[in-house]
Amino acid sequence: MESLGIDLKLLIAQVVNFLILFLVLRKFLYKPILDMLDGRSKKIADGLKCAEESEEKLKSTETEAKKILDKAEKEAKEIRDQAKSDAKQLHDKAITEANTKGEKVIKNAKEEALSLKESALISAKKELSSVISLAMEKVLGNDLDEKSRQTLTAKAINEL
Amino acid sequence: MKISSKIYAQALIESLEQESDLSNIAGNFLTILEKNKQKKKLLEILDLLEDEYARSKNSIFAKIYSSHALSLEKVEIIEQKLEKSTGKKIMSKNVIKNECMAGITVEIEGKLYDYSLAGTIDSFKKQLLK
Repeated sequence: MESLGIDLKLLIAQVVNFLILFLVLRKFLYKPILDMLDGRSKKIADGLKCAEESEEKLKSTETEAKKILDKAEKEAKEIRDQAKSDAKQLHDKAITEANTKGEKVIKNAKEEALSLKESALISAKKELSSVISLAMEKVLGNDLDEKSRQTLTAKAINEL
Repeated sequence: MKISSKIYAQALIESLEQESDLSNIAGNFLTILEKNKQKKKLLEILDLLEDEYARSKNSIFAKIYSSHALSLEKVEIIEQKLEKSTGKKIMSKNVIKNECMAGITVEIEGKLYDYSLAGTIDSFKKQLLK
């Protein structure tokens, strides 16, 4: 060994030193680092898991929200349709009532106008006949001479 | 008991045929009316008297209304026409009614036949009102 230039004692001491250093490093450096790395990995894994859960929750929430939204939209549509239907019914009813009332008013107005027209016509006829007969009585009564009177009497006797 | 105007008229005619004293008949008649409290019926009785008298003679009484007095000739013509249409003898009386204006109106057996000018005008007036 010596011929090779290797000092056995030094080699052993170096081996012992190496072992001591290894043990010390292992004890105070590798293990905390490994523990730290394990903890880090675990944190990352937890974080990922949380992220996945959050994502799932988000998806679930989104789905739930979509369902609620769909339901709300459906209900809103139903309410809107019902409101439209009610409004149409009310509108139709109002139009029908208005038409009926309008027709009634027109009918009454026509009847009233007709009645007024007839009354006016009857009144005018009465007035006219009175005026004409009065005029005839005046003219014929005053201006009727004896000859005309005799002629009319003779005619009346012939008609008898 | 109330006596009808027709019975009074018939009784009066019988009295006139039996007794000639007109003032006595009229006096007695009025006394009876007063006694029976039926003086209000006098005009109605006198109105019926002519009808009943004609009936007692088997005739019909006719009133001929005209604005002026008709000549006897015209009255006779009217009577002849009425006799022809009714088939009975006619006793008539010409009543002056100025409202007739001209022509005649005949009242016979409760019916009125209007051939007067006033009637023609009235008829014309009714036609206008139709």
